[in-house]
Amino acid sequence: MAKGNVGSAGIYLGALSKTLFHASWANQYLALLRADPNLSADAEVHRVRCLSLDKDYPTLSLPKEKVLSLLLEKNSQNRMAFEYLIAWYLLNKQLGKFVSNIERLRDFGYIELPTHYEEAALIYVYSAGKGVALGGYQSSPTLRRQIEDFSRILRGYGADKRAAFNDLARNYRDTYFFYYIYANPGFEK
Amino acid sequence: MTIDDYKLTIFLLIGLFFVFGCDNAPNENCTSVGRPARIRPDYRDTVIPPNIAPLNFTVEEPGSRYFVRIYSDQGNPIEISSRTSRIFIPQDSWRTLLDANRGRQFSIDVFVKQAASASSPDVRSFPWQRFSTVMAKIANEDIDAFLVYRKIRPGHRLWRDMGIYQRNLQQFDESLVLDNGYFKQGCLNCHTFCGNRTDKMLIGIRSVDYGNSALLVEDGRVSKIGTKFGYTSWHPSGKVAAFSVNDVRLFLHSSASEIRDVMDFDSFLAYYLVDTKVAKTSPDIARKDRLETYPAWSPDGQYLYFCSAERPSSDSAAIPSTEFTLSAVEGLGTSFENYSQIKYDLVRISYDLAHDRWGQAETVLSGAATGLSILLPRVSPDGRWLLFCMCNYGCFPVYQHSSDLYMIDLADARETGQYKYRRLQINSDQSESWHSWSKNSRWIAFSSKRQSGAFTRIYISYVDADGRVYKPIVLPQRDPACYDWCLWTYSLPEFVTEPVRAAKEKLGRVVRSSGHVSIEMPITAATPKVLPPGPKDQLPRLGSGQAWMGERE
Repeated sequence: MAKGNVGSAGIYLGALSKTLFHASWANQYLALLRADPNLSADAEVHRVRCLSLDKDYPTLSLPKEKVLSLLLEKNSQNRMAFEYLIAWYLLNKQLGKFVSNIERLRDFGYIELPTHYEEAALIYVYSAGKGVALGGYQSSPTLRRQIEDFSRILRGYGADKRAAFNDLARNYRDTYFFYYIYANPGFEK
Repeated sequence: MTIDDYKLTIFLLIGLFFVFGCDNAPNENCTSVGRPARIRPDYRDTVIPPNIAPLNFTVEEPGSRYFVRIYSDQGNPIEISSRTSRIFIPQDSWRTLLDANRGRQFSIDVFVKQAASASSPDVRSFPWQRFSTVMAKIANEDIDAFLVYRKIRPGHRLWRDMGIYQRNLQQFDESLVLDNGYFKQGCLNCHTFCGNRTDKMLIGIRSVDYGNSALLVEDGRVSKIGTKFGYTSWHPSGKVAAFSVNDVRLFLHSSASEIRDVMDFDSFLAYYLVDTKVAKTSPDIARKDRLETYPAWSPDGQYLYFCSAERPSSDSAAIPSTEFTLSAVEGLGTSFENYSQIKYDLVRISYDLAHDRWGQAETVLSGAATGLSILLPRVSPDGRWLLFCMCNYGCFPVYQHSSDLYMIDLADARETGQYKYRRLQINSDQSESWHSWSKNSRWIAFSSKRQSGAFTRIYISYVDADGRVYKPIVLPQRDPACYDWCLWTYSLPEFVTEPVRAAKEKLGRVVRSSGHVSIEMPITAATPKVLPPGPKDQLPRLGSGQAWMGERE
């Protein structure tokens, strides 16, 4: 429906109209398609069209960072694309790219940094060894204490990750600090 | 009940019939609409097989009563009264009418009674509307009795259910030849028959669990050849099957009506000698600098037609299988970014079966000359017509709305030395592909996306002796509205004159069996790079699962 392929949409809706739970929704859209094949007045279809790429970028697979960046280039207010892009950077420990996008969080209504974002930002700040602007966001004293404690425990084992594992897991296994040290995403660059 | 009670009941029933029953058929007081009724599927001005199943249809005119009269010069008309817009034609009457009127026009008169409304709730007072007559023609020549096709969902990279089915075209019976439930949801495709018969056929199988293979059915015996054949064509002798080996990759468009696309990174042709169980190739059908695919024998067995394009890169092995973008590919020195420039030529090569000797390949029609990529050649069994499709680029017409059907008169080409092609009038603005010929060369079946752009359906067209191809009919179904909600795509329709008799259980058992005929095939890339010691036309071994990736319609 979003792509304007009325014929295909009609067949999928026709199949849905024969199901128990989606029949009324499908019949409603079938009627809408008959009245307005372009669905120009449908808010959801309009929303999806505003988010869709206009330009063709053929790929052999789905390069996540590239596709998400293109989606944001098309529509900078695409919240889902932005959050997936940030998640991609965090999963891949690309903290430089993450920090460079931190200011954009305000565009999406983030009043404060989510905990894992803040933890990732602190890792970047502590690694850089100098002050880094976090788009006006303040880090909490609790998290600063935690990263210092985390670093102290790790140093106590001579930075031996394997030896420090149990101690760190006891209090920090649900933190991005722990993920950053121990996780192996398998697809990092 | 007494006798009087029975009489009273009969009297009341007769009375009810006159009150309500007479309303089921129009009388002389019809209002003329002055245009044909909209019916779907659209059969107006078509030519239909005299042995086709009833062409049930839906009248797309609002109404509360429907009356249809189907008639021709000979025999009784068929009259159908219905309270719904779906018209179901009685099979026996239909068959009698068609058989008695071969070569004649037939007519469909549609009458509709207006639907009731709040202001006029009693429809009996409404006059019948009579629409103009819909005319079509019954051909003289039968269509092959069966059609074998594959059904798959229009998916992307993954699939679950798929199967090869056969349909009795004279009825609505569809039966399963083989589905992937018999071998843990593997893939099956490329069913190929020798001379529109089923006593010799091949089915391509891909299976992680049971290995890639080709099922060979010969006179009821089923054997498993230990490698998968790609696009395959039987030599009319039944002694040789030419096939392609393709290193095909699915890629995606970020913005297009059809986001799936396909490119052969490498391909070549080989042939299997049935008696000696040997696979071979020849330099002209397996060139290192070319991509060869879609083999199709001429009915006299003297020529193998196929499609050939310049190979875009000499180093396809350098392309990573993980994700990458065009720019990354450019960095690797490949030509993937030129995928839309690849155009296949139509080529043929002579073959001497008695001496197993190949001639020299000659270009029949070049992509450069047509500006389009030439694919899927199929020669009519009488040797007169070469049917093929052309699309903007590449090797897979199903994913390209630009794909249309074209034809060459080979008799004229033999006389003039020129291969003149013409675009058929039956094309739509969507993809047409996977065409095949009936045994008598009078019918073609093809897959088309004209209904929706995403779902392929099978269409059937009549081809007269002069090569004129008539407006197609969609493969008829018992429920005329079934294509409005059917989520299957139908591809590779192949006509056969008899049903596939090999039992699906037996075929499944052979797929699962460990025993197979071993043949030697190339190692990784499709085009042989280094020939091993031994006869020069003998092929090196193919690694399992290398030749095909992804699944396509």
